Amino acid sequence: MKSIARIFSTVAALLTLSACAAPLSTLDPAGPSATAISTLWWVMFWSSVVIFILMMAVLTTIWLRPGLARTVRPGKWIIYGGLAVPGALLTVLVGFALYTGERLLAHPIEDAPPRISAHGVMWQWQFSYPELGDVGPTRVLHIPAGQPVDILVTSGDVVHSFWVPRLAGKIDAIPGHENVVRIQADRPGSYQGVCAEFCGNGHTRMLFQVEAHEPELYANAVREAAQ
Amino acid sequence: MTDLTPETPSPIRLHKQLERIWGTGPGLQRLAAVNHTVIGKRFMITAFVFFAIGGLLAMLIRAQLATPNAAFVGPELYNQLFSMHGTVMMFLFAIPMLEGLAIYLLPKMLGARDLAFPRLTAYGYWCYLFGGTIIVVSMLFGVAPDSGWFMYTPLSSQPYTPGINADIWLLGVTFVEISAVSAAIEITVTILKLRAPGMSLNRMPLFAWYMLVTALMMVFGFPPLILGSILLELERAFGLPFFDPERGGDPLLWQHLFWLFGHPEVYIIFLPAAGAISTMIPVFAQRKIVGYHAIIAAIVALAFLSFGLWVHHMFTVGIPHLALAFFSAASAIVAIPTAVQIFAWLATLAHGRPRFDIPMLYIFGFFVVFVIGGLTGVMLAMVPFNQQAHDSYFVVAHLHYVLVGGFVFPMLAAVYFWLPHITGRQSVHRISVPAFWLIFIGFNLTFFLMHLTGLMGMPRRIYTYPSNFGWDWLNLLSSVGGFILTMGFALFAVDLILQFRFGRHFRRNIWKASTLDWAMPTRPTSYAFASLPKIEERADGIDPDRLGAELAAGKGYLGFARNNRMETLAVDMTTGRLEHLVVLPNATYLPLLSAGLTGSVVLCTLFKLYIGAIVFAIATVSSFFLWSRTTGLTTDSGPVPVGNGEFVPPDVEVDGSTPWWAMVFALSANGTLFASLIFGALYLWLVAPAWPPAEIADPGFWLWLAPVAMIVSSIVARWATGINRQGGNFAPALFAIVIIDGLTIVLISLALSALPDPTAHAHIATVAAILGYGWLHAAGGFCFALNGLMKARGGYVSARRSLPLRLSVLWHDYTAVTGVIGALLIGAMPMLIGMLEGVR
Amino acid sequence: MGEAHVPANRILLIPLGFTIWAAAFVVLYATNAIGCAFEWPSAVQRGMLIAISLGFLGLGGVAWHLVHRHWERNAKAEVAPAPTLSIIGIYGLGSAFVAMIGVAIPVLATSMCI
Repeated sequence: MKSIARIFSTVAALLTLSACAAPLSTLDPAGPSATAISTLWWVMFWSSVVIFILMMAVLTTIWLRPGLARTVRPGKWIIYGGLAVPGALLTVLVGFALYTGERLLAHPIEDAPPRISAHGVMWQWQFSYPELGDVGPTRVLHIPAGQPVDILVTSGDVVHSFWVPRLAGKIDAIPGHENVVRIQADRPGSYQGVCAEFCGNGHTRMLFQVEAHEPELYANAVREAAQ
Repeated sequence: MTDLTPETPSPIRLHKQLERIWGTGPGLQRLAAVNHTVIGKRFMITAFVFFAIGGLLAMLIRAQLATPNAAFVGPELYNQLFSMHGTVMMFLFAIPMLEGLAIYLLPKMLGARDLAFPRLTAYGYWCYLFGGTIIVVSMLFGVAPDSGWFMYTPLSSQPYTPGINADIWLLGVTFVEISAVSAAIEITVTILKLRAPGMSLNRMPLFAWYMLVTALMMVFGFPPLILGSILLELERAFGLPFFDPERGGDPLLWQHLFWLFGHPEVYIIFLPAAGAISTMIPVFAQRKIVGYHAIIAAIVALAFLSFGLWVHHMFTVGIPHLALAFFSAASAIVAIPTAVQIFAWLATLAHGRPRFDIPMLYIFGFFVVFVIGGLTGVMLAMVPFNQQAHDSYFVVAHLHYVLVGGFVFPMLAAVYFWLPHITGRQSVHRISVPAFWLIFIGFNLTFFLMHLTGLMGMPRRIYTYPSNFGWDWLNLLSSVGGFILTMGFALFAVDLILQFRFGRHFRRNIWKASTLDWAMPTRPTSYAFASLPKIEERADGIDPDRLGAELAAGKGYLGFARNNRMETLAVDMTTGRLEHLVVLPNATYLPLLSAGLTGSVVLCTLFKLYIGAIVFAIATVSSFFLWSRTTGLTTDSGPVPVGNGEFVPPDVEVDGSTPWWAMVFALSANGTLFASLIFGALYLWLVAPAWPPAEIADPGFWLWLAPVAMIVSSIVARWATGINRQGGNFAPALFAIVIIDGLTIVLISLALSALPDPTAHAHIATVAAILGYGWLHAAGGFCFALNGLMKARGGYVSARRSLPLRLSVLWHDYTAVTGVIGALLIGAMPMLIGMLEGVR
Repeated sequence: MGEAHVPANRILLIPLGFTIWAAAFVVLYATNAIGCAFEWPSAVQRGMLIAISLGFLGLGGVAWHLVHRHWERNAKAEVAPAPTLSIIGIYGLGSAFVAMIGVAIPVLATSMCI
């Protein structure tokens, strides 16, 4: 048992270690949305580890201790293992996930967040800022830090997908449609974004930077970048 | 009435006589084979060849991704590599492999001598081979599909993929899918009708239940993609803007149609594998399966739920949260019937006396890999997590865990289990175990790490990556794992060759199984059973050793050869009571001819030789008349003896014969296609940008005459059947149908010509598509009436033998119903468009 | 021999439960899409979705009750496979009922058009 525990702590340490350094890591969240999702992930991950170990323990018991496995009547296997346990777990999980999902939506809020447009074309992103007197486009996305920002995502040709893994989940840019994703960077800094939906030969290089500024410096930074 | 039951000769003579009737000839005559054992093997071998090709593509992908900034291939080639890897594995390996297994096994498990429509089996195989070849050969010319295996528009549309790459996917895959749907219809009818007498539904082996559910899922699951492919090809070739957002189309319609097929597809692949597991586990647990009824209920639940999951591939396209919640909940619920099956298998092992062999090793691998895939599947069903993991390597890892765990591992177990049945030789165990461990370790090394690669933000389908994202060591290890996996498969292939070459012969039933497929000589003879069994218990608990000897001695039904005809028995669908005698068509080159002509239609369309395509289409339809020409009997025979002192009528003299049921299921598939078209029209109206259209499609009063003509035609078709039942002359009525259907074609053509330019807006294009659908069905009705006349002239129709007329009734009824629905929708469109005022 | 008859349409008992589930699923999804496209007031849409859910749950419950009663009364008298079909039908109706609840619960609180 001790050695198993040690393997676990090593794996956990490895996972966290390697996750920290990466600029596109969903496990290194830098905003409330990505943090909520990463919490959901860790909850699901550790539950899955437990479930997997239990399943393997059952399988091993059947093989090595057939007498023990036979004490549970056949019908009980299906009712508990197949219906009751997964049913209960899934109900809790779906409830938790939907609650999390609700919190991440771009609900109308009192302090209407700034709206920035992200327009994907083969193979770059153009960001413009209608609320700052329609400046732009810029190639780097500038946002104020510490507050939510709504990104209006559109496409000029094929389907793209706007993804800044450390800030929030992705949203597709679909020609003819306008999608909104609410992102927030807790601290000023530079974040990496990618196009997540395959969009042809330049898909690989459709990366972009997000610069989060102190709110009071934000408007100037955008105007400077737009020139 | 034919006089007495023919005598049963000695086993050897009986074998020789039956072999002469059922066997496939040598040399070029192999091309005329229609036998299920032969075609089933061909399907599986061809599928393995495509599997090797797909695996090779995967190796190239892993070679490119092993190191950052690799310059092994550029994006143009890489895009073809992963598009082809997905396409080949899904459409050219998984589906045909499961079809092959079903084709080979089902008649043997059900106690029949062949499938219900042997020529259709052969036609399906040739379509698969030709379609697959077109797709794979395109790689050699560097024009392989390169828009991903799910072909999202507008990337796959004309402006962004101007070459024939996308056309090859659309036409090639549709060609293969038509083969899959025809196989599905055949499998459904075979399971429902061609069972051994006494095999009521509650005695059917679980594998047959699994295949029945799978086949029905194919009947209802493939048409949305077939429709989507047709619409996209129409857009690419003729500019009808179904998916163009600037002209009233919507790229999201493609995603809906694709995943409406694509998600059920995953379960279509998993269920037969689960069926194989449900067959093997009781054998190695030495106990009957636990939860027979629960498993059947679970697979039915799985089948339905799998049609309610498709939007979980679209959680990031901007659909409202409530709609996502429906699909998220359904995606979580689908885990429960899967868990029911897994625990039924575990319980079977727990309450049996498990014994170990190579198939069990792979089943163990299945448990490990599939449980992980199921757990990550539940994770991906959660909306917020999905929005992070979607389109990342986490999904790549998950889908490989599910498909390799849920299909490849069980299939490898099945290969070791049934290969002795096919070859008549035992496996040489020495390298089977190391092969397993290489595959198992290689697989987990490759794909387990990809979960983490995905969580660290690596998107799918990028051909290279810089080294500062922390993905380097993960990708390198995945590539190493990939090569270990390949070595495992190479060893597996060697193992199979050794078995073919050096495996020791065995007498019978090597695993001590208790299903009917082992109650025959192995290798199986072409006719499978020298005589057909009477089933008196559940068919997964019989004694093949005792029964097999009895059947070989001709002690069951049909223990004789009669009139050089391929005979087998059909039963009542539910009770399994002996119902009628089925006379199957003998070996023929017609399936090859028809498939060749169909392939020519595909090739002509591919190269935009539309005149040629029309000519070959007409030739293809004409070739089907040749199929029909000599099918059936020219005299009324009444009940004939089938052995055991029983007499039953031949198939042509009963109402619910296999072709009639095949027609019912074919029309069900067709109806799904039509429903998808109606869904598409309404979806665009409700959701697509650039609505309302500038111009409204008004086909004039022709539109209302066409469905009236269709209804009249359907009434006359019924009338013709009525006259025939009374022994009257029905030919004038058939002539009337030919004329009315011809008139309907003219009416719809007029309606089509009255339309504004269909390339202007998707509204007009959808109206044109619905009219085109009606046009094709009127033409189909015309052919059915002509076929009736031809059969009547040949003497194949009498008051008792009325099948050609009743098939025509089914077709005309269907045409009338869809015609009315289509006309009503077209008629309602102006009003529906009016409703958009103010909101759009 | 001829009188022991189980009509083919009895097989439809097997998919009955999940056919009701599928209908509920499609109607809920379509109502949601139409409601958002035509900008129905949110109380109206939510009310309709709840009514639809309850309607289908009621339908499923009634179907379960009828099939179950039929099975209780006739299981012994009927010829195979009729009782088996009823049993699987009852399993299907029961699990479809639970699945309908699972799909309908989000209707109570989830955002409908964002």
